[in-house]
Amino acid sequence: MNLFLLNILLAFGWMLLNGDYGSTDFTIGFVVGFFALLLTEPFCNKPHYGRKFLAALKLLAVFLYKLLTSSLQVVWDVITPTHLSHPAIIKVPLAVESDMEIMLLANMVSLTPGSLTLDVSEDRRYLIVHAMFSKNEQSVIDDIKTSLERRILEVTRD
Amino acid sequence: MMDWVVASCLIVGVLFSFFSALGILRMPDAYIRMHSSTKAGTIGVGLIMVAVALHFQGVSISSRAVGIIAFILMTAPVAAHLMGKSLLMNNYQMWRGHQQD
Repeated sequence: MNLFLLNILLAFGWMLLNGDYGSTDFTIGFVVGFFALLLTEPFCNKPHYGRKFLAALKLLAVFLYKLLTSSLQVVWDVITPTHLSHPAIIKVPLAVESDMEIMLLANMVSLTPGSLTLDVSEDRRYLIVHAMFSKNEQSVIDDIKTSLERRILEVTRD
Repeated sequence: MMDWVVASCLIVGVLFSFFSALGILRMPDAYIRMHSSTKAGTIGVGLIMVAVALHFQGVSISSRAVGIIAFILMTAPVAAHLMGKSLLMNNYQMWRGHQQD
């Protein structure tokens, strides 16, 4: 996370040096800074910046794709005259621990296919989720755990 | 070319927003109404903002558009979470389906 801020700072440095403040210069500066940080990685006390950055990009891509498919699913249920939904309230066991990770997962679950976070249990071991299309509860849990939680852990853990 | 991209982003975004509003009227219970308002509403506003950023190319407009998208993405789930939590605490009954305790 700190390295990401440093990378943005490097991009601004690049813009200052070039005296040009457009989005293309920011992108070029960001890419150059990214490779500079990649080169200095062995000397840094927080390694794996490159790998984590790619994991974060992958998380973002998966998240946007799921946001689109989930919206289409909901819209389809709205415009077709019959009610297709088959709701259930499910407890999803959590592998993530810190506040940041739980917040990310809870927000992302709210915006992905057919699930909405309702609560986090007191002991922070379960996420209480309302699933809109749950013929099979285990498949909903597996979907959240394999697609989102695993990717969040790839970003936040070493 | 760019005009077509902007126009299609706008139309799809407006349609998503419209269907999310329609969903609030049509869906059977409060939980599912929240599904409609968070997901489809988010992507609707997001697409409209993408269209705005593409149309008025320039740092000041597109940075604001990105900011709006980021804040919608952060706040919509939180609002839904709070409403869902209060429904859950008041033992709101779903229209069908069942509930683990």
